[in-house]
Amino acid sequence: MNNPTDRPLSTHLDVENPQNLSAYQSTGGYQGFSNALKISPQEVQQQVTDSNLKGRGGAGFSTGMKWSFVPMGENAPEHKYLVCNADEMEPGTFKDRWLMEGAPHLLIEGMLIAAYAIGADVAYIFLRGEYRLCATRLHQAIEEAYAAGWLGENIKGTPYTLKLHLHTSAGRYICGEETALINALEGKRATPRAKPPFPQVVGLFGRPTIVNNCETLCNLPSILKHGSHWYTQLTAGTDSGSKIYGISGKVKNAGLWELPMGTPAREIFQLAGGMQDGLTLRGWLPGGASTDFLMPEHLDLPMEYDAIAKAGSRMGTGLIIALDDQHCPVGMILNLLQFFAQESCGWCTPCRDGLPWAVEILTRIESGHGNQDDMDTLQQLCGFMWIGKTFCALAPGAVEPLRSGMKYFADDFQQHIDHKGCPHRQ
Amino acid sequence: MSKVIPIKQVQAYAEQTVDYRQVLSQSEIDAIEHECALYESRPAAAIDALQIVQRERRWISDESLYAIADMLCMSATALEGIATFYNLIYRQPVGQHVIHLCNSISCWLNDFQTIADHLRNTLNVEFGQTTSDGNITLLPNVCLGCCNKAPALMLDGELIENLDIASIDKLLQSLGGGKNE
Amino acid sequence: MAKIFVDNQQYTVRDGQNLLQACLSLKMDLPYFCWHPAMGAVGACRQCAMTQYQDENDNRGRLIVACMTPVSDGMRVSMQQPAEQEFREQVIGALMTHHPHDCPVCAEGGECHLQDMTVMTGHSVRHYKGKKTTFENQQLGPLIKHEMNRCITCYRCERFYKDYAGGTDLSAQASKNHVYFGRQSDGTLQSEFAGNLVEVCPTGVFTDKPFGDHYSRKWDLQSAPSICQHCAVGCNTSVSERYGSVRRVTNRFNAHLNSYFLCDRGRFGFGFVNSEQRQRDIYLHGKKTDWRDADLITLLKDKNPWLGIGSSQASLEDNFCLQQLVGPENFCPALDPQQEDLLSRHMTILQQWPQASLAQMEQADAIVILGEDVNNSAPRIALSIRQALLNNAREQAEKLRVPAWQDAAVRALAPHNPVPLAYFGYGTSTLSELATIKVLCDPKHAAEQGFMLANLLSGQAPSPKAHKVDPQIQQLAQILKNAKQPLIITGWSAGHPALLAAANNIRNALAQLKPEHDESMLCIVPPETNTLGLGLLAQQGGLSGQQLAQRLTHNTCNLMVLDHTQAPFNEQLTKLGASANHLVRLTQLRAGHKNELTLPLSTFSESSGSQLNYQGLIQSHIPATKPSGQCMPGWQWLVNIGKLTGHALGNMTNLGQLRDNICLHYPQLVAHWLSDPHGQMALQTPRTSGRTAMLANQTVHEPKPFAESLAPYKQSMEGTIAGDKGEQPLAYSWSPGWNSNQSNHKFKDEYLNGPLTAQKGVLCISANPSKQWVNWQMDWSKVNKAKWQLLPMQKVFGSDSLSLHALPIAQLKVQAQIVMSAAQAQSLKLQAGQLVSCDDNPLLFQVVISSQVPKSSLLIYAPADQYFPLTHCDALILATQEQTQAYRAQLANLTGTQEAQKQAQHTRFLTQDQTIPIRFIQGAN
Ligand SMILES: Cc1cc2nc3c(=O)[nH]c(=O)nc-3n(C[C@H](O)[C@H](O)[C@H](O)COP(=O)(O)O)c2cc1C
Ligand code: SF4
Ligand code: FES
Repeated sequence: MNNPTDRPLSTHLDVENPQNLSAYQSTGGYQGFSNALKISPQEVQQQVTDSNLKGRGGAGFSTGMKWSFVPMGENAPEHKYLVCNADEMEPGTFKDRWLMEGAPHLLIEGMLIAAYAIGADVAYIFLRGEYRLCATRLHQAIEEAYAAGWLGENIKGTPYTLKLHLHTSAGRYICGEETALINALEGKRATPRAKPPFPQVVGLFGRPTIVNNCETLCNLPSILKHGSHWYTQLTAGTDSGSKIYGISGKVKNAGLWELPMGTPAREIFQLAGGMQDGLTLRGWLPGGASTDFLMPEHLDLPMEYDAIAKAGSRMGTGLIIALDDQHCPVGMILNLLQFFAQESCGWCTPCRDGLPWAVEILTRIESGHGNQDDMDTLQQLCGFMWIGKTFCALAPGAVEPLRSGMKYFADDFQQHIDHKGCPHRQ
Repeated sequence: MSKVIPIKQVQAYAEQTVDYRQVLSQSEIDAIEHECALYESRPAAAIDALQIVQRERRWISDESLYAIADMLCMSATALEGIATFYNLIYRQPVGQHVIHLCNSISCWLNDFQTIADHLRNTLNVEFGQTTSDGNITLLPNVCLGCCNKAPALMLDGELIENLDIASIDKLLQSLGGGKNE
Repeated sequence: MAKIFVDNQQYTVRDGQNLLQACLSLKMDLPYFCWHPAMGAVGACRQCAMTQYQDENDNRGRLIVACMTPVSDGMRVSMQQPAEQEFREQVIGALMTHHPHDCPVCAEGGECHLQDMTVMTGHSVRHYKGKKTTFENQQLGPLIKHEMNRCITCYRCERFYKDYAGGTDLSAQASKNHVYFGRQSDGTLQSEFAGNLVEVCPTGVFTDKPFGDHYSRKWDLQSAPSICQHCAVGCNTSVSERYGSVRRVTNRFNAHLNSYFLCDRGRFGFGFVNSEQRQRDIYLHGKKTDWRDADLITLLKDKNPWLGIGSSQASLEDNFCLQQLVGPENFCPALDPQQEDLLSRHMTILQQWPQASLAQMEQADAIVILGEDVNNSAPRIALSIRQALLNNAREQAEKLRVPAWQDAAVRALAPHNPVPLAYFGYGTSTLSELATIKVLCDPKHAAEQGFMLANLLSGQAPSPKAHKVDPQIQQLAQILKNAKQPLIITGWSAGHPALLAAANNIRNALAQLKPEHDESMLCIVPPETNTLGLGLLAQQGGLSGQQLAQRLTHNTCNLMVLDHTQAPFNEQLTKLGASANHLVRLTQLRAGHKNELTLPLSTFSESSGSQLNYQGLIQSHIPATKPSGQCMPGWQWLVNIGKLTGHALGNMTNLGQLRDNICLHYPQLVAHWLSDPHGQMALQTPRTSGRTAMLANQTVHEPKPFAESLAPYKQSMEGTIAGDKGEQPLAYSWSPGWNSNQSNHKFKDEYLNGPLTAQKGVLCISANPSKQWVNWQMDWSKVNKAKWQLLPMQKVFGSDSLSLHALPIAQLKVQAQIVMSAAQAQSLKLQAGQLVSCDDNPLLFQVVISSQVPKSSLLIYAPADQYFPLTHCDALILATQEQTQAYRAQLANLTGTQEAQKQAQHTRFLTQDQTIPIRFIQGAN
């Protein structure tokens, strides 16, 4: 990876000292958007579809396809919205923060391209409240972009107009779910909305709306700059482009790297220097807290959507969480479930009442007060909160580490019950 | 418990309302108006407005809530429904400084418990409490996005990473401690 | 229609509905919580899970929630397979992790949807071992009790209160398993529809407070189908009794009128029946007596001419008998010339145009409100109009292939797809806040705009001479031309007949626009429950109020009066009574007159009777309990008087015969009473635990079931039970396995949202094919030189006199108000909340400031029990400090008195429960 264009996301990225507008422009910034302005929105959509870019928010849905549902042309509604989903609250995930702190103009350019492609006239960055530094840097960058005519009326002399605003949220994981995010932006309680109607048709304030993840949007400038074919070639696997991968937990050097899509997990572990001295890897979550555990034997899997799905998990956000042998898997699962129970929006029954129930049982097992019945109930709860049974994907996401954990770490659970306590605490 | 119900008179039963101009400062009003202009409806600025006022006053009192509701043309009940939905809106008084200690998975794997115990013991408060001198409030927080530099906390909105006992002690010292007799 | 397979059985169901609706319409037992037939689906509770299969070969299927799944032709689903059954049981299990086991003390017990669903899913073993979440409750005022711990978070309350009824002071708060439904802080719920929370909540979070204070299980109540007495809509209700006191009123489903919801005046106003104010005995010149009293007989046999005054608060039967007894030429329907004018105009229009039902109004795609404050005069109509305002959003949703029952989607679309609503008038109605065209004006101007509008729509409509056409009226004319089902609403509350005339002309003009497909609608709101019944009788001619007064002063005449509890009526009656030879007053409530014969009337809960609602639709109520004391239905007193005096009316031996007699005069009514119950009707549920042993502490004889004497039907524990026969009105709703009001669906072929079926029932005032224009010449000369005209205002809790005798409503009564603009207040140096009086009238009004006051006017509201005759005034006089203090003291005192009354009533009821009067045994009176 010597050629900077192979790392379209991180070439412009400097967390200590992010590029200002002129630095960004002089290193090729806003070229992608300038190219976009020369072609029609539909052509931009086509390029993105051809690039095979998949959404980086976790679900991996084709971005071009998602855009294609937005009504276009003369009869399209007067206003449309683009929203950047920068609510990043998935435990173990910190890639969007890195991008926004390090390359705010990259995001703005990406949003310009997306907004132009769908004909949006207003765009919002929905930023999680805790990311103060991101907010400061984005504010600065947005002001620069307005001053330079990249945002506002008649951008660069074209008829295209876009207003871009930063919205800082106040801490709520469910706001990351795109329909809940829309409710949050409307000043309502951020519970998800039923689909259909899809936001592409009836979204923010009842108008067509696209919600894209921050990283997804940051991919757009390079696609428009170098072309979709170039983008498809970046990958090391089958999904196109590059991806911000990362790892946390008890590794030597936790962090983030931009790597070709489909880089094997083992390589990411190696970049992190492996586990800290004296620890061995017991299992790992491939892409955030809401993904199923994988085992050390899965390390050679390419980190991309289908391959990870085949192994029984999800690529999610692509940020790995490593579990070492000094930490109790039951404790880890309890911690994860506590997060999800705390962050349930309270709309649907299985999640609202099922997650606290699971936490109650896990707490008991972890502290040595559990029994075999509890394991059965826990197992039933996994079914109870599974896909299709809840209103949105939060609870099924929460179930992923639980059900896979109960499978892979069955012995650990059993020990807690048999020895009435946590072996790791003794 | 059972209150005598007053005779229904003019507005006696309506929700409590205040004139926001009597409660909010001009700079708060300007900042909120600025946010309102960014959305299609006034209530959409609810979260922004709550945060603006909270920045000035550290927490959202009932009076602030009524004032914001009045300014955004929404009912106090609806605004309460939003304010209480979010983790970072304080509907109770907090100390001069607020520490949000991350308790999510990467921090948990990196000695969250030690740090948490140390904070609780040093400050002599539980999570959710404020030191009796009113200086420091200790709260838990879900993943702060500092997983590569865990454990981490947020102090008055600023992220502080790679915590250990020594750095916590230094931090608390710089805040003037937190006496809890 | 669509063919669907449920558990491999084939059914044909209506397209477009959701699977839950379809299954319930097929009478299957599928549990649910968050869905409500009137409020659509949101898919929150997940209780209604089923499995859907791709085709015959798919035997795994996938779990779906039925309420969010549209039915489609050929769809294959199952309800009885282990997967979905297990899941549904788990949902209850999860809900129960924090539901308390307080069913024994819960007022909802025995009719609790959660209990039913728990049994239905087979959840009988508790697996959860943890602690339960607990909440603090709020004080929500005298009507609704709050017990948050029982909440199962189905969001129905919030969706009803905020979305459906437009309330602003109840909402979901907090999140995760701490979601809380309540107000920002303690205080009375502001919406006049709050009472519906009791029926909307599937468990006991929101319960009926007056009922709960002295509760009874549903299966111990004796209930009867009834009609609300508190406005002209005539909502269908169930009245429930136990141990001789009426305990509550609940909604009785009627697809065309109230559907699932009542207003609080209707739900809680019945309390006058139990009030200390009830007249229970015969009084002659202030002394208690009985029917055999010789003086009484002499008085009634007096040979001087008898004149009669009817009442729009009394039944058609009562009024008819009075009219017969005194003779139509001596019968006076109303006392006030303005009311007479309104009534005769109203009747003429009603003969030309049918009035829209509430269900029809909910289909409107453009609405014009002409000077009527429906929010306060007929609240249930306002609730229906609110639903109509979503029609364009529903249409838009369907265009996007989203079914119209997807409530959240429709609401998301609503802001950009408004239904035009034009509001001409004054005052702060919540509907005026939703208006797209709003014209602030007095009734005269409103009428004139109406005439202009009619003229713009059709050249044939007489044009008012007046002013130039406002662009808003042009715009409105255009809207109405494009609308398919426009709705025009007006009524009596502004007290101006020209409004009715203008509405008539607009209606005519709309009909001319679309001679082929005229689906336009008209609704005129009369003031009282039986105003139109009286109107029907008045068509026989009779005395005007003025003529009556003249007869009384110039000749020796006797006066017989069906009472009307509004203060202006009483005021006039006092004057008239003074010049009458003898005065006989038939009344439900004590009024303290001395020089009269007072005959005590049984109330609507104690006797049968019929009334004509705003459509002229005749509806009858049936008693739930025996008359108190010496009370009798009005018609029966009058028949008895007829017997004494040898009048033909005296030949009537029972109610059926009387009704046959009425039908001779009004043949259109035959169909109504024919369809009325004649057989046995069970007023008690099949579970009547302890009913037969109710008097065991006093007598070993088992009482005969109560039956209204002389009624054409029997009431019993046996007989037709709820839903057995489609035609019979339901006394209560119950069906095996469904003890709550959700059992309603068992009695209907299909749930709402289908095409509107024809309204059942008899419209008594038939439409006449020749449509007449009213050529109204507005008199713009300033008749009254006074500074301000006083425009009348109404209040839900205050303008209906009967409900003011119900304790909880009396507690909520709004005190007299005078409303002015900020500018007026400033120039008069008045502030909101101060007390003033008008000219030389002593009544004190609180000053209210509002932007909704037309020029040179003040808005005035006096409660129905306070007399205020002025229509104009020159001076507002600020109350002195002593006056203000006295006023405050009086209010504070009143609060105390009401609390004491409440306690006293409670004690009285409890005693009565212990020793139920022996007269409740049939024949032991
Ligand atoms: C509970 C929940 C939380 C989510 N949080 C985020 C988030 O923080 N950031 C994000 O980009 N997507 C998040 N998503 C995914 C979004 O709903 C949505 O799929 C994404 O923003 C689409 O963007 P993309 O197409 O660019 O991936 C979340 C989803 C769920 C169910
Ligand atoms: S699964 Fe249900 S309760 Fe949980 S976050 Fe989604 S909608 Fe809310
Ligand atoms: S009734 Fe279907 S999800 Fe609640």
